[in-house]
Amino acid sequence: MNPHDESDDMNDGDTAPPDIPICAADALIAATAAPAPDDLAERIAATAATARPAGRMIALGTGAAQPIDAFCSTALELRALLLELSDAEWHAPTRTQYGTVRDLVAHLAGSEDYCTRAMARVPAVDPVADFDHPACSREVAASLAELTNDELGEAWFALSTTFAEACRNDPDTVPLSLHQLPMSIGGALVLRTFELWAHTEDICAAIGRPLPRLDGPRLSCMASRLVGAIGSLVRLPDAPGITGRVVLLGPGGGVADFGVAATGEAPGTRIVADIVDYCRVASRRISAEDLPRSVTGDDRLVAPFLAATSMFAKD
Amino acid sequence: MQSDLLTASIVRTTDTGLHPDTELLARLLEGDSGALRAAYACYSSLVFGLARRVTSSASAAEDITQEVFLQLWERPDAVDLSRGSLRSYLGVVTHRRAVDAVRRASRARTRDERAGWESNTTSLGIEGGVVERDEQARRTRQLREAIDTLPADQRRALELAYFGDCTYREVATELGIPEGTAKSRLRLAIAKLRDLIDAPERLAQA
Repeated sequence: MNPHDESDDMNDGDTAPPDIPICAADALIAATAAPAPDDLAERIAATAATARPAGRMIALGTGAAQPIDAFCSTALELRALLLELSDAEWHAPTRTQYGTVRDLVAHLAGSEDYCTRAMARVPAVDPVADFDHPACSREVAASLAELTNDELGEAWFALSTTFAEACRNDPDTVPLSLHQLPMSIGGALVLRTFELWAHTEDICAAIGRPLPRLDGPRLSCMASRLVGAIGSLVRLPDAPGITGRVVLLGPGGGVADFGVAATGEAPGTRIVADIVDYCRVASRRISAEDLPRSVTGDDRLVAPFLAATSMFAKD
Repeated sequence: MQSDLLTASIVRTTDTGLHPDTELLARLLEGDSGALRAAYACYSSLVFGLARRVTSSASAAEDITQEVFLQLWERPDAVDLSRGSLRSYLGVVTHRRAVDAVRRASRARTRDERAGWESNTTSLGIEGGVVERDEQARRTRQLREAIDTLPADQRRALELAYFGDCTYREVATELGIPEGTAKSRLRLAIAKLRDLIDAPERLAQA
């Protein structure tokens, strides 16, 4: 239950007072403060220790959505947004290299088609060109040029559905290659979820709408898969034993250790950040330097960790 | 964790643009019970005062304060600092729980009144009705006293299920526990109530 996510309108009649909006909470609690009974702190501490023993972390990935569900929810949200766009909004310029909203959606259609071919193990004609994410979507994007805006939106959604269906037919762990990067189907779905979310934000920014906020289970899926994938890659050549911990705050947040450590060794670096901001670093919507964060300990590990965070981003 | 970090070869602490509650929440996520004590020290009077104001009951306010801080301990990831401070979050959660408590009490009163009206309209006759009402009042008082002696977690489960019209699943969801645990708590609570209520009668019969 996250009160920050719920409606403020919970009044069901005259029998009870209405719920308060969050903006009024501060004023109300300040006006009504009264000391709690002396023994309550101890009772709470005792019950808390039973519910969750001290020292037990909330691991990043607790309550995470399945990658297929994360991808499908994000695709459905983007589709809902596209269905609302006016002609002018379809032609609004975005901050991406693709141009307008329409060009961006055509790129996404090409990306979905590329991924579906990867699922079918269709080998790349040119492995060097296969590294180039924008180029890989260009042919399909060009083939959709004559469609109306609405038709283009539906064409992208149909291709994303085809990709999702292809993923559903195989277990999450089946290996495949995207842009010459080996990964599992689960990893590919998470990568695609990052891209859809980032481009949904690009479209919202282009047309002046509020940015979408992903739910906790999706953020948890994305961040935990990402940290899991890069965790063992992060190390300092001159101090290979130093490991790190990332604490991500907000719905979907949790704690994860990274780096290669001798068993039982405590992390030497601790990075605290908001989970959404961290995911924006992963999709290169925030630079590593601009990530609001708190670092404790040996900060030499921070730069390699954040560099690895954005290494899978496909824009 | 903190002391381990302080022994690292290069120790620096840098904060860039984060909310002041960040460190407290990070420690809660890491399972630092000192962070719960710190949160309680900061916000318990706010939580307790608000709950008492809404429910007009110090006892209900104690229960709500306990639930609110347990929720913070078990789900610190639910706090979204991009939407408000920890203080605001606790205010909203407290207010919601207090309102729920008021509603449950109101529903229970309505049910009691309806039950009382129905018992008055049975064909026991005037004397029989009076005797039955007295007996019912005695048993109700006995039941409430017995409920007050239950452990807080069992009492809360019982209140939700029997006074709040919640199903097992709803009790489990509300308390953030598995359904099986909710059933066990209710079974234990009912068994204990039965013992507590029957004990004086058994003593009287002995």
